[in-house]
Amino acid sequence: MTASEALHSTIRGSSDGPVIEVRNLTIGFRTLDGSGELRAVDDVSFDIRRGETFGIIGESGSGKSTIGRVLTGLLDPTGGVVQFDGRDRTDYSRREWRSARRAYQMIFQDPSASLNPRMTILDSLLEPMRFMGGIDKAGMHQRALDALVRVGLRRDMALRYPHELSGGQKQRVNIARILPLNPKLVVCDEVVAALDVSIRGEILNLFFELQRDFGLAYAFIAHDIAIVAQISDRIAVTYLGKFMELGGTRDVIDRPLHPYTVALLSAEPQPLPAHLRNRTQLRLEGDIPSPLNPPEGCRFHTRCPWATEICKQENPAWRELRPEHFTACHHATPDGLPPRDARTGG
Amino acid sequence: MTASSLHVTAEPILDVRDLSISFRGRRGQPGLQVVRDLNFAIQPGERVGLVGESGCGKSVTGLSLMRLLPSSAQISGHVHLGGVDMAQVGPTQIRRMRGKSIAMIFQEPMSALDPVFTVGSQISEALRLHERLSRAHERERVIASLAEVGIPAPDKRIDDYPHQLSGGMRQRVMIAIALINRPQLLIADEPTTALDVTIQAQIMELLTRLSEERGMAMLFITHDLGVVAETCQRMITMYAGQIIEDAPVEDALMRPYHPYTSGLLRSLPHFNHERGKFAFIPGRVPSPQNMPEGCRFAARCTYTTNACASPQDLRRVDTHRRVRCGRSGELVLDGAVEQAGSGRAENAGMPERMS
Repeated sequence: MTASEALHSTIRGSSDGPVIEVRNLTIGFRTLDGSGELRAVDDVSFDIRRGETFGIIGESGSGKSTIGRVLTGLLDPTGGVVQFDGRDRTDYSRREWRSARRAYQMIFQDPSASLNPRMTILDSLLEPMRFMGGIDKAGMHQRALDALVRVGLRRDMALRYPHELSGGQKQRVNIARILPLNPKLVVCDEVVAALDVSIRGEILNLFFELQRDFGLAYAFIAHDIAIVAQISDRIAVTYLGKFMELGGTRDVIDRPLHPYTVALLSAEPQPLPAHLRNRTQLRLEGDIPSPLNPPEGCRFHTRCPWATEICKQENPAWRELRPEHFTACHHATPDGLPPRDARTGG
Repeated sequence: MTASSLHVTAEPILDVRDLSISFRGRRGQPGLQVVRDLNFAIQPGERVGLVGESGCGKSVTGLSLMRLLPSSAQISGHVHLGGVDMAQVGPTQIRRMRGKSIAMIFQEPMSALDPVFTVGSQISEALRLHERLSRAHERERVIASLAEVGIPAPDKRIDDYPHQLSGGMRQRVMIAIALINRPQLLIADEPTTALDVTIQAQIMELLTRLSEERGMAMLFITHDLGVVAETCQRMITMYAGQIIEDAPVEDALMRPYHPYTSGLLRSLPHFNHERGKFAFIPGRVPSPQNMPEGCRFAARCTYTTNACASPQDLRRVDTHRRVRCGRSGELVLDGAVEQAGSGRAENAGMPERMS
């Protein structure tokens, strides 16, 4: 166990229940003409533990951002239960919820879009505290400046405007905005996707430090499995509104149980010379089906090289094949996936 | 075909000499130079990746080769395309060359396609600029072009409108439009960045296959070094408007000569990083208003000496490599190989692997 892992388990050990618990979550949206329903999320269950980073990976239409909105209380479930700090969302009174939801914050992909271009950085930092109330003006200023320094920016940045800052600096400001609210869970929706590769590491390091220092839990949503794998304790792989796989990061990356996870790992372009790319070439055919009309049975069967008759008919059960390592696949075994037959190519 | 065998080919399809691009300043402000003294050539059939952070000048370079920059751009230097000196050709001939000699695809296929015309009519439009064919023959050619870029049921999809297609299918249509007149050079500006990763893999494979089948050269503009590694034979790295390294892709990945290239490679996500210790390049790209006199990367470089205060030349360091760093001979820099052996499922059938 490395020092950082030890610290992680200390933080987790000091807590009681998970920071958020989701059971059989379903989110449906009515289509505009009222004729149908888009199931953005369908019967998904998981929890996020205190101080952990929970990675959610998926492509377009997987429902990952919708899940993120539920985790911050921005969206109420159509079905299922969401427990914030051990209590059903519906058990909170209006007043209690107003104060409880502060602990569930979100940072978005586009660092510019989430800052008002006509407000100084200081005003942007003060805004959430004004909503929160209960702190005097001097106290708010102090906290704002402290937060600015904490995310690695100079105090004099406070009087600048967003256009004077780089993308990385703006994303730091977005992080600084939520620190005074003492969040327990921060949903990070593609937070480094808009940043240059050269500075992503710096921002991810900051996320890690803040987690270590403040015991934050992250729900880290991204389409890029390499980035999610770098920072997550556990990873959930989503496809068309359902979880395909969920487990510890090393388990999911090194011993994936679901064909879709294998395909995602294989699709990631590797910055290596051809002879060093030690991986299976599993190329998925076809497009992601429309979430309006997902395939029957297993949702992945239309693109899955392992698919057989049962996959077209039966929705695979969510099974814990290895300790803390779950998947929904008819063909997965505790040893992984069986070798594909000759028909599918190797 | 390896990069080295390509170099012996006689006549390059694209030859860029001393290309500089500036934008006129507004209201008496000085002009901004965004690209400076670019020199490179692309051989027929060769796939070259042009990489660097945002703001380094790669997209402007691509647009200038297509002569698509706005009139506020001032371009100097020489661009030879298929032996033709682009400075000598007028607007009519440029239009004839676009599509036939050189074509381009962009990041966002939806904004490049017209929503009120069927995809078929948009491909025919490109075809008609260069060839006169009968209606039936034209339709046949368009259907064949859709089939070639891997669109299923092309005889039906030809009558679809762009909104009826997925993002990946739209990018395939863009490729069909770009390639219908069999250009010798395709400029692809972040063609897979807006796509899902499983779709990106399909499009990369498609572009590589088409380039190989047709002997079509490609200039792949991207920030994604993984994409370059998997599709290109040579990698040109730009920084702050200059080429700072040019090398066969394997050499650039395994043993970069410029600290910036090495920094980019080390910053890539991989599975074995210890958390909280991710590599990155400190600081940011200098702005054109504020370009340093000496080495443009010096402020972010960990290897600087006094010599870095003077401008650095792009020197040829061996047959196939050029680098703009005075210390390239003495530095041994990390490449991507240090990351090899990172956690990947090695065999999908039996994904168990050793860490």
